Amino acid sequence: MSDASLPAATTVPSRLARLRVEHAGTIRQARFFAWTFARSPSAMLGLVLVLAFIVLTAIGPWIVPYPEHATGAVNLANRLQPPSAAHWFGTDEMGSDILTRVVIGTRTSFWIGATITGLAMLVGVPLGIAAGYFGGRVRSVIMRITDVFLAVPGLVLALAIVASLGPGILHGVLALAIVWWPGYVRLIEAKALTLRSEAYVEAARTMGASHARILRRHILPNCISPLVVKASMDMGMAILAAASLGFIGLGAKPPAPEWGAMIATGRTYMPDWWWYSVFPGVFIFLTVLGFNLFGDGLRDTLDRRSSRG
Amino acid sequence: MIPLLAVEDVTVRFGDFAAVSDVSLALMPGAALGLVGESGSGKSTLLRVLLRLQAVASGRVLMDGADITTAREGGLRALRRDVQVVFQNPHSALNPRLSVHDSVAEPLQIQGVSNRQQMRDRITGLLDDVGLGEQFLWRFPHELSGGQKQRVCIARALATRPRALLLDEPTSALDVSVQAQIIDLLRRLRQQHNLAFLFISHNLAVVQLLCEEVAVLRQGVIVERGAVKQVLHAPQNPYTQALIASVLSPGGSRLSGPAVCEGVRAFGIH
Repeated sequence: MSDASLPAATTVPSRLARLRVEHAGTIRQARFFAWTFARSPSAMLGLVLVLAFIVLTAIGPWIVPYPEHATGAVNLANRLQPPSAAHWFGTDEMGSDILTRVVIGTRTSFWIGATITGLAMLVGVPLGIAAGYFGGRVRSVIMRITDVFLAVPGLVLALAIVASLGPGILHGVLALAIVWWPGYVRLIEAKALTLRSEAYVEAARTMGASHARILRRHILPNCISPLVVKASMDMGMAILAAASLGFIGLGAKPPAPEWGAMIATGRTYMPDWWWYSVFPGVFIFLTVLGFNLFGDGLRDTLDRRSSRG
Repeated sequence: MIPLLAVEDVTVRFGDFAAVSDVSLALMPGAALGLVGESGSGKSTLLRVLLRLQAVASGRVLMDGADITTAREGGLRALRRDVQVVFQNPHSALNPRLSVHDSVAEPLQIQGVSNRQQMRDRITGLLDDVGLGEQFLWRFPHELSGGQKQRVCIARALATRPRALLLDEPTSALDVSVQAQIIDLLRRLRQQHNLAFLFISHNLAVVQLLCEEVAVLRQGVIVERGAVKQVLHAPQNPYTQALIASVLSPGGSRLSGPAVCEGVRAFGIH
């Protein structure tokens, strides 16, 4: 009796074994992507910078030396100290530790970048799909509106919007999101337009697949690569744009720990108290560089045709 | 007998240009009809009309005698199940993000098969039908050769147990050695499943291997039609004569019956 049950038990594959077989192709592909990505030094540098940024965002408040300085403690006896063992990046005009404020600033930048990119995608992708896949009059209307937005330089338009809403970090983010979505509409519209007439989409139609099914199975998955690449690049650009708004006083306001605002305040203390502006500037530089190199690397890996073209 | 699929006096316009003018064509159940003509002659447009992927300017599309010219997707259920298509270029006919299993599963999912094991068995059977082993199940298109991809496309087309396959130059994007294999496979499948074929090609020699009847299309108009042997041996229309002359044959002589088959096998199809 036990003999009879044994072979049956061994022929039923475990769930893990089954998954491994069914996703063998995906695993092979992922390995190939990782290999291609790892071969590029600049992509790896981007990955390291992005990971460092994300780690600082996640654990920043627990590793900084003076967490209470993040929102602007007043310690005038210690104001404008040069970098030292106690204050690696020096102190600002209120005596706050700049290292602390710069590291905590990653949080501000992260949510700014993620919110702007996220909102832009949330609006841009559905509109792009609607325009590219369904076409017709819907497409003309969507694309003309998009063109109007694209015709005006983004930051200038954002400035106008913030000026009318009133300064503040939330208004800055909102303004930047409003000028950011047209890029996604353009990207996805072009992609969906070419995908729509692919033979496999036509084949799906001849099988009686619904639009929802075609979008889910064929159009959206094939839009992911360019989308991920653009989103990664845009994280950097959105952080830079938000810092620009902070710098000219329309975005985050001191004492909020925001890099652009910090540089703006520190600017008046240049060049004698150079550390005040330089360290936030270095952080902006490395973050934007990181996301750009990372995005470039992703494009070389995921979207090989367009990087060659 | 009522034709499985037919067009009556169909005209298709792209702007001022008539891609297909007043064409009538009928595909009988179990029959194999060839449609030949040079590129731009309207063959593929006609195929898209039959699949209801292309709207017509005038004329009717009939399935089993019922008018489906303007039927909405809900009224096309029979067409979507009983008539399937195999495209010319297998490299673009498979979604690069779907494994062989998922591509072949798609028509089954649309038809409402949801039992995992049932689905798996059916797909394995279909792949077996087209000469692909179980090791291909989880491969992606980029891991397959052109001939293997076309076999997957054929398996996918057979998944709904169709009564007719519309074949849009299914061999012309393939290596010559693979072409003969695919033709053989199609001949076997046709017998096995009692399929009707509408076979589109620019090459009369291939059509002779698969079809009994042929229609010659030129600039959107049917210039000649009849039994394959008759059209091939005694073409009436000068265009058909030119088309036949353009097909290479061993020794450079005119094509003739069995020699065509031999020639095709020896030299490949072109």
